[in-house]
Amino acid sequence: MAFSPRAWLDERLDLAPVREFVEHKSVPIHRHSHWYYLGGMTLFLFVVQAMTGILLLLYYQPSEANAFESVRFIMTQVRFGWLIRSIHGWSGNLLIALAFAHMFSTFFLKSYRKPRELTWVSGMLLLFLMFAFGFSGYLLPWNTLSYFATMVGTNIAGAVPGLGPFALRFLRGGDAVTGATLTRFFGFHVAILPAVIGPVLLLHLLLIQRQGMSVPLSVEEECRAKGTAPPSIRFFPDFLLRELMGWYLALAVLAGLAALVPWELGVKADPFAPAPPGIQPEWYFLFMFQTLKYIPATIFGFDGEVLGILAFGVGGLMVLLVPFLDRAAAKGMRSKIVKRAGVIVVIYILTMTTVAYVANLAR
Amino acid sequence: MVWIVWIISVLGLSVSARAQQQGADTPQAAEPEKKDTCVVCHSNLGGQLAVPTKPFPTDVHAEKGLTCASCHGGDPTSMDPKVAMSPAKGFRGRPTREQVPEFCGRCHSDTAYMHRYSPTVQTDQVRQYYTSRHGELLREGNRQVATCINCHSVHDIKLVSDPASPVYPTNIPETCGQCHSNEEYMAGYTDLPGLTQVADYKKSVHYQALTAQGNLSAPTCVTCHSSHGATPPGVRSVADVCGTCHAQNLQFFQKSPHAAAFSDMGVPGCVQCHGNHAILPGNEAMLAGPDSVCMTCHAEGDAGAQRAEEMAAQIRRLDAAIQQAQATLSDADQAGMDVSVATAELTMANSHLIMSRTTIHSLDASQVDAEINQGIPIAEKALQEGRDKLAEVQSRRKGVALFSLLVLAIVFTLYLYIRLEDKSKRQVR
Repeated sequence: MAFSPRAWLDERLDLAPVREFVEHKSVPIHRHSHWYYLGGMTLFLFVVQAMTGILLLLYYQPSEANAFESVRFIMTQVRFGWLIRSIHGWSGNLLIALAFAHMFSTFFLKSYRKPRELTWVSGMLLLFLMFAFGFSGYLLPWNTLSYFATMVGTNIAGAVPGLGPFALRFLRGGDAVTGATLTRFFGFHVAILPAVIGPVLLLHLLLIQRQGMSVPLSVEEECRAKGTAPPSIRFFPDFLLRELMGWYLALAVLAGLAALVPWELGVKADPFAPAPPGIQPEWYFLFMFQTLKYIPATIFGFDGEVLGILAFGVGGLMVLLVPFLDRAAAKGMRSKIVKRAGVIVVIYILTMTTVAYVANLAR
Repeated sequence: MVWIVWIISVLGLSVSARAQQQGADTPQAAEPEKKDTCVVCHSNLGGQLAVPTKPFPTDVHAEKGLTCASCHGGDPTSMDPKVAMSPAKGFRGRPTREQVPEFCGRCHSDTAYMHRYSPTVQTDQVRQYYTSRHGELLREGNRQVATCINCHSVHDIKLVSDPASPVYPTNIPETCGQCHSNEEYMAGYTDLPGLTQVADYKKSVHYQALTAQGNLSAPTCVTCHSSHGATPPGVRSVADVCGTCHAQNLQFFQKSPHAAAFSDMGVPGCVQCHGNHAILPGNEAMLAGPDSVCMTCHAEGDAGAQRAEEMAAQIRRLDAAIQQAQATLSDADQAGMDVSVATAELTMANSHLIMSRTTIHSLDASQVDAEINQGIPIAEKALQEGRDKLAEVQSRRKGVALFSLLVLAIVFTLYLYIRLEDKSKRQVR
């Protein structure tokens, strides 16, 4: 009798329940179901980040003296090192862009409504952790831009009322951005953040698996009117093929960005050099950075920057808790206020980011 | 008068003793330092008599364990001012200005003594000082001229290597300028050329190297004029002074027709073209063009002017080639390409550029050409290397772009496949 790997595995692991699950798992399909793929694409890019990050880790040296030189070594001496670094840099940015898009699509489709509140909260935590990944990773090449952007970023953290001075020293490992900051950020980037994001990501995926995909309110209402259940497709292979298309699309965009704008080495950071003009944080922090620029120095006797940071903190908390604030959605109803607030936030982020870019170009 | 000092000293000591009793539990109080009544009394006297006691603890002499009595003599263990400041106890008191060099020289000219502190320290400062214009004038009874304490300060003297020292390289221009830039102070010295030396020096390439580049070996006032044996270099010695650092320039100059011509005209060598204090970066602009120093003596179109223009054109050619190569290599470097070999090689072209600027002192265009002809091929090779690297960046980009298109083709194929599948499923239903 011919050897069958499937039978061999089945005999030992009893794969029948897995087969059963794969054969019967289905995913709703409707006019909004293309938004589902954004989550899968984000996950795909996260895996790309983890893999390219591990490869970079083989050569990267986290010290003030060696960081820039090791990145130079990766780009000039390691076979395809330039490509790995470029992919890692762009994938990180694309990952956050897709995470934003995924978050807003989920928000407007009200997928956070009961019983998926925890899925939303875990997703928001993932987004915050991705910001932290981006912020900590930006310093690691130790070039002029990354150095001064970190200085600006940590200054903002230092302005947080109460905790600010502690946060500043904790992040920098001292009063200034130095080699101690680099070592710290490296530790956050490759050890602490991965250790935290792993369980949160698993929880997020587990919740999606347990609760299935959310069907938008409008589709639910239509089906209720027709007296039918929402149409669905099999997860394997129909939905997976569509997911695969999304992953390939993310890969194509990633390669396109790496080809159009290759990630450069830059100039080694010199802590004693003056900051070059137009230093900005990464694009996903720009709307906050630009807002803080417009806030007056004092508002009703309070420090304007502190009030701005507090406002963003409250805003972030409200977004995190939106499933519990949007009472209408919890009852399966639409809330115009929440929808309009969401639209205003999107327009605000896009406008302020554009203004920051245009102002920098004009400079 | 003496009894007033005595009363104040005793009062001061009793206050000090009370303070020690109060702090008896501290280690300092448990192990009081060696008794030094000079500081105890003088710090309580106030006014001019107390001034030395404040900065002295950080003076290099104090740091080495010396006390007031080490220089001024006397008995620092006695609380009686009559005994402490008794000539019988070796009290020398405050030296007059004329006495200052010998006062310091008691130790600083004693080689055996000074070598206890540093085996390489100089001990001929006082001897040199009396060869200087400052020393000569002091012996003539001029009490205005600088002595040791004018440059090194007094009672808060620091090592020359201490950035707080007035004779630390970056502080020297200001220290010399205290007198030499002071119009009122220098009023009687008509043999000096003016008061702009320090201001001029601050415009110079030497000052830039000293401050902007942090090069502490860059020339300051004392490098050319000497420190203790300060004498202005004369017409004949000026080339030797500059030649101490610019040795090759001096050698080329001495073999050039200029050496004899300048000597006949009675003009100083280097200073004639480069100036003395406001020495600007030397480059080919000094040969030809509106800032040409050659045209100070040469006429438009004469053989000398023509040769200067030829040499300038050649040097500019190499300079331009190096700059172009550097810019290209820098672009490639920032794009993440390995240009270390080409960059290292380009330093050789730079050496030839520097050498070509040096050989112009020979006034021999063929020597300049020889340097240029060696530098140009190196610069061209580096430029080509940079261009090749940038081309490689482009080819990499094309490769990644092609990959992106291939993946897009897969996406499109998947899309078509999914549509066909959906269609066939609908037909089956």
